[in-house]
Amino acid sequence: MESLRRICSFVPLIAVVFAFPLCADTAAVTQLVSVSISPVGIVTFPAQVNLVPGGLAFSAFSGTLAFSFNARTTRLGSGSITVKANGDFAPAGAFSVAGGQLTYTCSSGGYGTPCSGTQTVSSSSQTPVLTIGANACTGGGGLCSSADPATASVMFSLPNSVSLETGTYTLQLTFTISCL
Amino acid sequence: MSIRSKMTLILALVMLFTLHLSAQSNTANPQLQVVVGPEASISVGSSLYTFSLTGTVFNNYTLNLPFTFKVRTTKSGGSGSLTATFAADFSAADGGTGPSISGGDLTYSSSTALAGVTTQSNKTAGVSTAFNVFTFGANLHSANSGTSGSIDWTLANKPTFETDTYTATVVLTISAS
Repeated sequence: MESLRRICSFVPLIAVVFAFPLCADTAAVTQLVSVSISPVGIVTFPAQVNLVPGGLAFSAFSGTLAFSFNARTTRLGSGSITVKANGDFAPAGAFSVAGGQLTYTCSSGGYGTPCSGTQTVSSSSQTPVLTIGANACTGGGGLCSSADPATASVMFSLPNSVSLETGTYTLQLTFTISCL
Repeated sequence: MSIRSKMTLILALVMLFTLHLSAQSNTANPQLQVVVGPEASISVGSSLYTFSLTGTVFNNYTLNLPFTFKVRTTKSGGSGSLTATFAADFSAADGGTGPSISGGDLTYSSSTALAGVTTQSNKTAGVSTAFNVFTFGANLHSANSGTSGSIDWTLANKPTFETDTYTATVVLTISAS
């Protein structure tokens, strides 16, 4: 009988040991999860665009720089895309940014407001390309652009003077997208 | 309000202001490239020019054909030309027998004030084959608004020509490389 009691007391002990891995527990913890969604803008350009003369001799050089952008502005914010020349054309002596020879017009792909009229590129200040309103976002349609990324373009123009020496001239631009 | 609740509120307020004050900008640097190549153009003021006869009888007919041209040749190794071509000989309005380009009745000289242009003097025109009016060297530039030039034509006035009105069409072609 004593040995039977020992067995009986031993059995529950075994059962408890094996029961630990099988038991389940649930705990509820409230954790604050937050995400900071900030205004942001990214603009993507081709590395280079060529300005070519029109069909008639000595017609102006022109070329279209198409670009895409992603933008998000706050409910009270706004955004803009601007352009500025990094110096002047190289080699020097042919075209003059400082002389106001490089002009452009803007068009949007349906999202944002393009610059108005003909603008002149400056090497000392940024000039407008596109403005984006408050609560803007790209992709998805509705208040956002339907295209993701949104698209726009800038058409540049340079006079084609007879006195220009033949050669290849380059100019680097800086486009800046700002979102608030 | 517990300390933890106050901290959460402060954090939320900080985040709220952060959302409205943060701004972000990005830049991209595409390059514009312009290849300035050789070009040339020419314009003539009228579609019809008429030979005139001055001086004594059987003097040659003469005609000054003015034009304006623009040219830019390649800086190094470039060249260019202005040529004239008669696709056909003179044709008579009333079937007469008259001057003949192919017969050597038409000669010409060319002139321009632009330095570096080679002109022609007292050359005989031909039919169907282009003949030189100007030749251009490397790195030649006319005025931006165009430079004046002209061809002085001289047409024989032979007694054997039948009275009539004779016309011929000349094509001026300017090129640059």
